[in-house]
Amino acid sequence: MRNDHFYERYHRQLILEGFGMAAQEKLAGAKVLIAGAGGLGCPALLYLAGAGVGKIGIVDEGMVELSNLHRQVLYSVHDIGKSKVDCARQVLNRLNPEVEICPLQVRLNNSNCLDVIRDYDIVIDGLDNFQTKYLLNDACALLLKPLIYGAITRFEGQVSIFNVPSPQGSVNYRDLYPRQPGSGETMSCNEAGVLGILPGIIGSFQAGECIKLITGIGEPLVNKLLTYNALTSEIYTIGLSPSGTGSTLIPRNEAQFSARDDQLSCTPGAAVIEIDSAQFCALIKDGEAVVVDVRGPGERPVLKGIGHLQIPLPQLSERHSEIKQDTVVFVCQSGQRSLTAASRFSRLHPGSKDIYSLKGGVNGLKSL
Amino acid sequence: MEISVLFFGQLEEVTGTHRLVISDVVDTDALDSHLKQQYPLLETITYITAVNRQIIRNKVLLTENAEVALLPPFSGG
Repeated sequence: MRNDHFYERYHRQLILEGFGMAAQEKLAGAKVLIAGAGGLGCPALLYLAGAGVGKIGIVDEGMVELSNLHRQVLYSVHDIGKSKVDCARQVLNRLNPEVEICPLQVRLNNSNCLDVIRDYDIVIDGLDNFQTKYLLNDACALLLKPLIYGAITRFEGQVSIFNVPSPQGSVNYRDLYPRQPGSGETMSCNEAGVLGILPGIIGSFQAGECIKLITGIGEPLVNKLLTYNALTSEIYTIGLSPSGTGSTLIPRNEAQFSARDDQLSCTPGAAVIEIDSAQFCALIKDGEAVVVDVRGPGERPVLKGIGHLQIPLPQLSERHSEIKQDTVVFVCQSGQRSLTAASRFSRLHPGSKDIYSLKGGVNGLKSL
Repeated sequence: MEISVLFFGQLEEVTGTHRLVISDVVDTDALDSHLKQQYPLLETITYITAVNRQIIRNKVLLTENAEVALLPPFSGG
């Protein structure tokens, strides 16, 4: 039985037709992670805590700065220099002590992302850069975790819901924009500027979509992309569909996700990822990758027990089309020629394949 | 035959307008090359195309009053 405070606290939404106690109990049982406690995260956190979501995780590595305060409405001048997730937890605890707040002060990366999101039912994207937006998208797509996407620029914002099955299939961010835009192609809020109310509106949209998804009311933006323009107050919504390539760009399993380094792969000129022998073994085990030995004939030890192609480095330019697979690991004796091969191959297939080089080469492999 | 084209985000800065009315383009491929000729910077920007509010990836024939929207990704949060 719920106490009187419960009824009083949630009274205005409990009396809504189609909401009631059933929806309120669903909220109380829900676990939502908000990635990024900035412009989008702050309003989303406030409304979700207010609405009574049972457990809310907040992940952000940042500290509060004066230039945050025009839009990041959880913080005050007293918080400058302090951890955002700690300040957010204090405010949200005061707002609604019934909600369990789990702050996590880290930057999401390939090694921690899956474990951070695993226990949550729904993830909200409040991140402010492509690198972690793609990382979070891939992690959520891999774990089939509903992701409420939000993004802003100057006067416009986007909202969508990914990874929720529908008759047309499930859509993720890579079905819209398959690859990360190059650096210099778009500007961040730091460079382009942003009107403070814009993330307030988009973050509130995200909280609203989250509540709809949890409680089953209304029509959430599944397989739809909403764009809001703060200058014209216009909303433009389009229908989305899976692209075919969108799902192929998602790592096929957790080992592959962890072996990738999205911080490297988005750096211009560093499309090649060096992996150590443990990551190499994990990739081989999963069977999707092709190993290409770029050493000359006669070099020892031979790669026994590992299926591979033999294409000596000088022949790579003519023979690169023999490599059909999307995941390619180059190996050589010490890791130097394989790195050269990998970067040549990546220029021949820009952005279309996952390309690795075995660091330390065959010499570094412990058991063959 | 007239169609309208809507530009979102930084595409509006590149083209200098939010909405353009264009005549005599038969399909989305013709429209794309027409726009890229007029605004070469479009070549350098990632965007998705929607026709009558539905994302498209292959060539689509354009009919009278079709509404085409070009939407780039936003990175801010």
